[in-house]
Amino acid sequence: MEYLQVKSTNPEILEGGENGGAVTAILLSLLENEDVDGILNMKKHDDVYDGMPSYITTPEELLETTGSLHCAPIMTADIIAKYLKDSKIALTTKPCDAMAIDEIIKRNGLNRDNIFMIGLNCGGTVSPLKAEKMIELYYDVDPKDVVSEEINKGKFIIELANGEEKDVKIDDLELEGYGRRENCQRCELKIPRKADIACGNWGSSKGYTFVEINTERGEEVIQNAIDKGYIEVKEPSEKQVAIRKKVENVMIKMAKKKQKAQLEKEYPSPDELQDILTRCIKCYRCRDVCPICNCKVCSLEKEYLQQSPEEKPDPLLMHGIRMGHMAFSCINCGQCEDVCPVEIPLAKIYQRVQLKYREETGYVPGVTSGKPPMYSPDKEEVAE
Amino acid sequence: MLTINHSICPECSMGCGLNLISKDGEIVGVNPYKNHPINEGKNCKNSIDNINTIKSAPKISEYDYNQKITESVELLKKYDSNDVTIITSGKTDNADLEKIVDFAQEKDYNIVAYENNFTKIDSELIPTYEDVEKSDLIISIGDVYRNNSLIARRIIHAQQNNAKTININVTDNLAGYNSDEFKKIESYDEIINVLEKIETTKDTIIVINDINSTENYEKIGEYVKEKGIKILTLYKHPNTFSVLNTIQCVQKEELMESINNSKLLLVINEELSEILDDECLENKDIIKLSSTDADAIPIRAWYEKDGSFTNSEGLTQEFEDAVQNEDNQIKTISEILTLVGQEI
Ligand SMILES: Cc1cc2nc3c(=O)[nH]c(=O)nc-3n(C[C@H](O)[C@H](O)[C@H](O)COP(=O)(O)OP(=O)(O)OC[C@H]3O[C@@H](n4cnc5c(N)ncnc54)[C@H](O)[C@@H]3O)c2cc1C
Ligand code: SF4
Ligand code: SF4
Ligand code: SF4
Repeated sequence: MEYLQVKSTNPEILEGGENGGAVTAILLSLLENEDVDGILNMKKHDDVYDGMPSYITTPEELLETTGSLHCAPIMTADIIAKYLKDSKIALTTKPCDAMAIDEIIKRNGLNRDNIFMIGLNCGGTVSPLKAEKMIELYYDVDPKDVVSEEINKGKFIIELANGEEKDVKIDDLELEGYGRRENCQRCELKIPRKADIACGNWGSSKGYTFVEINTERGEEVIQNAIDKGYIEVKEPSEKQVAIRKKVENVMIKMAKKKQKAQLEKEYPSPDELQDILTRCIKCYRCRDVCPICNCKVCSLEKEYLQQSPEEKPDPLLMHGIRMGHMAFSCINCGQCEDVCPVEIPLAKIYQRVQLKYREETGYVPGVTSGKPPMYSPDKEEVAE
Repeated sequence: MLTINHSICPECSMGCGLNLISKDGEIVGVNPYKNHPINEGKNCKNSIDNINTIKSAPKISEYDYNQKITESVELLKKYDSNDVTIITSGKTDNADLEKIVDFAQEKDYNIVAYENNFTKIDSELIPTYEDVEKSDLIISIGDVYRNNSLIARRIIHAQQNNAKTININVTDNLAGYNSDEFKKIESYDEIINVLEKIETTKDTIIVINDINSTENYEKIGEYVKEKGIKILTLYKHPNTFSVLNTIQCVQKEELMESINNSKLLLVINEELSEILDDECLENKDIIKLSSTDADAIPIRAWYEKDGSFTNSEGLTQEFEDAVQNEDNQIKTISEILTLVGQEI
């Protein structure tokens, strides 16, 4: 049972679900059968641009979280590592979430046995404010009128309150500087195979979620949900499996092309980079949100590395050190770049180093089993 | 139970959003509020330092107000109204500010605030944050990079659109390192001479967060009017804009004078020891309302109440109690003043 097409048996979940509602139905099964203390997933807060991580402990709350939010580039790995470490929880994981969790586990920050990873395939996320601007400009629609959005067949599609749909090709949007976040354009992991199951729409029949089962626990979860009547399943045809594989490969090829463009051709010169890094206010937000940066005592805040507010920032004292400590494990989730108040293109800088390291060592963070060759046991101490 | 809710940072007057993570009714961390129109999920060091301070501070959710209110009422009754001065700040939100002003008027008390030498500015001189991105010449005064990083971000966007940038400051600073020109001056008393020498364009914007006297700030205001340009002031408190528009804002010397002329001070949301020598408070009776001083009468903290404030661009922003701790019995300023007012 490597691949299955899954749909929820609950009409309410089917109605709200992105595809077959499999994810919600499986989460409901885990919650109602008390396999988990709670669920961490993403909920539409004010509107479709306002995805909020939400920790859920009741079925009623869970039913409010169906559907995919493509304008919610929020990571949940650090939330469980920091605040839910001792709970048994299920969480939805995009590939970057899954890679992050894998790297946190390697640093002893989480216990894999405590987490059920319900993976979501991912073609990319859009920054919410950029999405609103893009909808105004290229769809000629008031962003507030959008009730749902999806990414399908290379298009970003919006649905309006009156049921009307409008779409624009993602390639065209990206040519104009809109579309997916830049790190997502460069992201090569489209199916989270470290998650217990990986769910998506690629290759699926209408009304079903295509599920790839990755672990024994994933198999148990699916079997339990079938046995207890939460889901119905059918096997995909060989053709469907092949279509899914083909789309995945095309996406990976596109990501590699974007890496070449953004990390080589368009990459800032050393002088430009020096100027850009002079903006750093040392707020440490990049470190705080980075799922790889989890040390109990961070070297960056050591007294002898501090400069006075009057001195010109020395990039070596911040990014030089941080790079040596973690760039080999950078998963290109883009969280650092998203939160940097002074627009330093951090994910580009760190991913570029990781890819060079990968060339030398073959280490793919969040994917390769075992610790990276440069891993230091000093870094094993994870923040409380 | 873990909850995540929207809030607004109270560390300056920019109005940046942040998502607060609370566990069992206590703030434990932040998560980026990526669709907040002002900061897109980005926060500066001051904002995060503030959350870290809150995280490590002792928590109270219950307090017996009866005795403190009785004592306060007795003190207030003891003095003539003109011996009583209320001192507040832009840390107070709009509803509480209105309540404080009403309370002062009703009881005929003096009321003052010290807002780092800034005074009210004509609204037509104030640009929006988006205008900053569209400006072709930005003159920053003070270290707006380090202290108001989210306006620095708008300046960076303007630079990416080929705007020219000049920083004026009395010390070397991050804004200076990141501007096309840095003009270091001995004292802000020279500011107007330096400004006079700059050739402005019609879209020039001055972005300021530091000045040594009201007089110099007002001179800059005149200069802005004369040149037909705009000025954006980043204040140290979220609601300074409203404070400047509602109560008399004084300089340090005048504040000291007000204190000297009073016998009882009602200090609300202000830390006088950060502004003045403690000596000038000797022999004064003080009633203090604060969410951070353990010796004061406790009030609801910013993140734990609903409210609104007016940011640097003059936009009124609303925020909600982001912690939603039902067991929190701590009262708001308005609630406390109502109780006190009823007793006098
Ligand atoms: C950003 C994004 C991009 C995607 N891109 C692709 C793709 O290119 N190809 C593909 O095959 N599938 C993709 N998917 C997966 C697909 O959209 C469905 O989520 C999946 O098929 C499951 O459908 P369902 O009906 O079973 O889920 P539902 O039952 O509707 O449940 C969806 C679950 O996802 C959670 N969720 C929603 N948004 C997010 C988010 N941003 N981050 C984390 N969790 C979230 C919800 O809280 C909910 O628990 C993407 C999903 C997301 C979130
Ligand atoms: S980094 Fe990859 S997995 Fe994460 S949101 Fe972007 S495309 Fe999806
Ligand atoms: S460095 Fe940035 S992109 Fe890389 S893992 Fe950390 S947060 Fe993600
Ligand atoms: S988030 Fe940006 S400004 Fe803050 S420490 Fe990191 S690089 Fe520097």
